Amino acid sequence: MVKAVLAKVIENRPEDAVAFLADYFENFGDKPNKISQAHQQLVLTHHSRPAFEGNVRAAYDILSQFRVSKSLQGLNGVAYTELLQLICSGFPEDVKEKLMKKIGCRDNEVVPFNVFRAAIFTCFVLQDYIKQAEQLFHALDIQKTGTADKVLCETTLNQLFLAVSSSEHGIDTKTVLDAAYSLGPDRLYLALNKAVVSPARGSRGTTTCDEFVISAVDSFLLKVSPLT
Amino acid sequence: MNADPKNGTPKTPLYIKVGDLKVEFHSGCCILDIGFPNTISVEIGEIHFKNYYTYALSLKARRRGDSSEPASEAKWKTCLRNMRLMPHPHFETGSQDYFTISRKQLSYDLCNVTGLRFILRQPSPIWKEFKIEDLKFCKTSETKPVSLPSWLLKPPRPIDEEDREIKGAPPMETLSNHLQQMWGLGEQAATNSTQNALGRFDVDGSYEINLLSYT
Repeated sequence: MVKAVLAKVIENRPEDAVAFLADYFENFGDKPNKISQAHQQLVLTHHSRPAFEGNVRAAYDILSQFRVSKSLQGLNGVAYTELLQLICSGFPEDVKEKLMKKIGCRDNEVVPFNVFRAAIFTCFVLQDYIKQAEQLFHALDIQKTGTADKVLCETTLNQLFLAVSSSEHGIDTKTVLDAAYSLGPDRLYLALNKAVVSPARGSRGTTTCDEFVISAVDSFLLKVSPLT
Repeated sequence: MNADPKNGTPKTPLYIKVGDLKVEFHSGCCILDIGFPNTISVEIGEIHFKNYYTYALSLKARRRGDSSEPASEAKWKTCLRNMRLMPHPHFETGSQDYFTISRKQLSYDLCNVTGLRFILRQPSPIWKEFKIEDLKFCKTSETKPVSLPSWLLKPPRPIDEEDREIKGAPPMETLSNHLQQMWGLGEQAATNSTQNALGRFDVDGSYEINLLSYT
């Protein structure tokens, strides 16, 4: 058992090895539920590390033994949805709803590995994205009141939306340059200046963090292709 | 680039070795003739080949309509003069490399070609056998030059850092930073998406009548 956990530490290289080990042993004793086992595999390392791919594969293997009924075994929509809900438990409700519309599977559908992998990556990247959006909100909320000026928020998110939608049809050098330029400090200043000087009607007021995050996720979901 | 490789058929695999081999005289020169009997109008954009111990290559081409005389013997014109394939004739470097001759290296356009003549030279006595292999001719079309975006060609007046502050808003750099990271994460999501289909039948949430079957 110790060998296994050491192998995991070397593979995943957590920043705080002691905490990693503590978490691992704590969850090890829990009732082995396939979904939570798979979830445990997935949170071992950050999604940008190469070890994450191996972890996704291991999680899929665990879930492939999920018992659907007496004679049927495999990853179906029920287990898939439950796992996604577990991963996204920190997200606001609206975000979860919108996400499931794009990548949700029906209860009786079989989930092949590629679909599973894409969905897991999307969830984890979305997790990072929401963190970024929250940080952006706190940057916009200069007085730290918990709410930020609606005009500023809307214009900022609008710029992002424009950048994202222009690169919708595939990515190449030109679109990357264009996006980087439109999100650069100069263009941002011009857009914000214009908005502050002549705000659109109905844009006065303030936005809360949750509302901000929910609108930001719209830009993200533009990039997620729905399942067919 | 529309590379349409068509193999020019050599009239005969004509490796003319100049000189009499019986007298142990290796001239170090070899001619390879390529004919195009099957195609009427031949336009060559690029020539790809694999070298086999050839030191230098010259290329002559014969074009239809080049000479004014109506006789069948059109003149051979040099279009590539002495292109060096191996830096040192005695050593191995470049002896088995792949080469591409593009339009830029030729003296004139290769259109309406009736024949091509490769003149191979290998002055070193070490390499008695030399040739070029895997000859391929490609017709390339002009690639559309991608135009630079207008903001690169005519950059707008840069705004000073001090002027770039908006009352009640955080510094532009911070905002820009966050937004660019978010954009990057969005792109990551796009690259991770899969084309794998689940095999769903419905279109926009409702079923297509024709796909439902009677059983």
